[in-house]
Amino acid sequence: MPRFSIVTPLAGTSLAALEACARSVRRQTEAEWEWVITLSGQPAGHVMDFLRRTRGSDARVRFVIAGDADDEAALINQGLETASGDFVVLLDPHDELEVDALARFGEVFDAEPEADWVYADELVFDRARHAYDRSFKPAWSPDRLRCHDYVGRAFAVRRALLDEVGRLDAAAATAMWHDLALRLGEASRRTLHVTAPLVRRNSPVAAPDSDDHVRVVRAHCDRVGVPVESVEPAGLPGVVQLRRAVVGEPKVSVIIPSFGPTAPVRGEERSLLESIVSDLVHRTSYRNLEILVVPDPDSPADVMERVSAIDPVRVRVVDAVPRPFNYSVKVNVGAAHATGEYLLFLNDDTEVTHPDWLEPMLAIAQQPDVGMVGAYLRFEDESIQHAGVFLHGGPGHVAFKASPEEFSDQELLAVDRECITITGACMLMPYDVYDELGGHTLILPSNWDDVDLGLKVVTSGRRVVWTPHARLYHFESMSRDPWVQYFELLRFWGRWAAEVLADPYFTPPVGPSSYAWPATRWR
Amino acid sequence: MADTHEPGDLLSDYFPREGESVEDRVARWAERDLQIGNIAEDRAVDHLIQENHRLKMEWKMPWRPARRVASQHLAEVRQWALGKRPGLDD
Repeated sequence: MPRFSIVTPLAGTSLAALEACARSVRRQTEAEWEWVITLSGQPAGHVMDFLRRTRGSDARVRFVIAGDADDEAALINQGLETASGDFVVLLDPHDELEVDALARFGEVFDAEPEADWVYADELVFDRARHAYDRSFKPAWSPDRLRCHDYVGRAFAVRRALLDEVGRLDAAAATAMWHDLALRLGEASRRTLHVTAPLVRRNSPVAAPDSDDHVRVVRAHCDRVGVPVESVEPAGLPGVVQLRRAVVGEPKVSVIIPSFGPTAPVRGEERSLLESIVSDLVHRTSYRNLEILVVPDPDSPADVMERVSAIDPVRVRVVDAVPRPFNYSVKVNVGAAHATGEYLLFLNDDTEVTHPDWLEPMLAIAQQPDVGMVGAYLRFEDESIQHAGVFLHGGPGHVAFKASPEEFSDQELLAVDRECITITGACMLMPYDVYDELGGHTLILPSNWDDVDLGLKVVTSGRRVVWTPHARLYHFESMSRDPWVQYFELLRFWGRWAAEVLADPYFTPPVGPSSYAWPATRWR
Repeated sequence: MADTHEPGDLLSDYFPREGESVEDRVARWAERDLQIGNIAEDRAVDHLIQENHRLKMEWKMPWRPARRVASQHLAEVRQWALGKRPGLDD
């Protein structure tokens, strides 16, 4: 059974808070533990009396007098000097462990010998409501962690890892917890998430100062070799925005399956295909593109001619794919013509909003363990069309049709973020990954082929990442029937029954409808 | 328990063919998708059994539908690929 050292720095804590904290430690009956309390100076008499009573004759409770140390980092680091457990939990004196916290952490460390760092959900006390909210966390999400410390303090870590990364660094100042999380993430062999709240957080955690925060994220990028274009405060507490830089100028093949439709956009009839191809040629800053249009047999020839004429060198209309309609066959045929290192699948009912939309997607896709990257898509009325996909029996879109300004979980819209999958309306993949995974499945001819592909990516051990830095309009389903057929549901479930009810990035399942968004808070 | 995704060891034996035509490539992808889909289906069935949902789900999930349909589509794509190159593979 793993042995835990719980380390608690004590400075200016009220007796009531400390009593609750101590009770929660003593309730950990299913685990082997010691509690190291580091004291700065001499606490008030009644607090000291309580601590002495708590210790009593229990050798598992120890005090460490931290000399002249008075900051949190020094107190914790001094406590760690004397800790003897193989695993460490850093417990704020205002917080409480759930009754089975150590047992649950211990189960994971027992079952997964390579696990070095295990974090859990939290219950966060809301002073206004005088009640706890559950703070859900996603599975291990390294790109997201670079932008905000979603892990928080509800974690247990292998002592050896904590020693290896150098414990808390006071030089990181107000961003020292995010700094620690980044360093643990860099060195951890496996980082796992327990989908249960194991800590009650009673005191608010102060957001890092912007300068400190940007500095620690930049330092992390330097250490691990992330090519950075910019790191800036996101305008939200505790959140920075990281823009990665593209390495080199790899060729991107844009694949647009289209029958060449027209549809009303902002009150005017528009040839959708011509419009998006023109956007790619004239309003997209990334230049190393080839554009492959895959028409239907009955697509209007004049539209295809006009599309080719937009850029005769870079735009190619490939041979039409015969009926019956199968979207997957169309995109696979387009991809099979591609000569680029990356494939961008793009719907014809999209519109470019800013020239440098493709670079952020490409920069993320250049990470070797990323298999798919998605974009931030909005409807014509600016509401959210796509900010990543979650699974709950079937797929749903995060924040679907929500107002970007009013959506409850703003940090989800501000940072690069791992998802179970993303929409096929704008999807970037390395060609090699697409080739290895057999492209789009033919068994789903018009819906959920993208979700199927995302699940193939994730189950191959790669990450799917959504980025808010690539923004387009998506006039969804103007050019095709959006309804999912019953047979598609059956086929999808036939393959992915194990995955559809256990989305590791949005757990537990969210709401009764696949498009519903929970009222609870997410990290 | 913890959640995570492991690298897919079942895919490690995969090597693309060189110098293939567009039609061959599309047919190969269909074949590959079928192979991966079969692994996923087996996992889905195992999952349903493990979760004791099998009896609940069977009534609305005809047995292994995706595998049957994927085979059918593979045959169609092969036909299409052959049609693009008359006389070569018949």
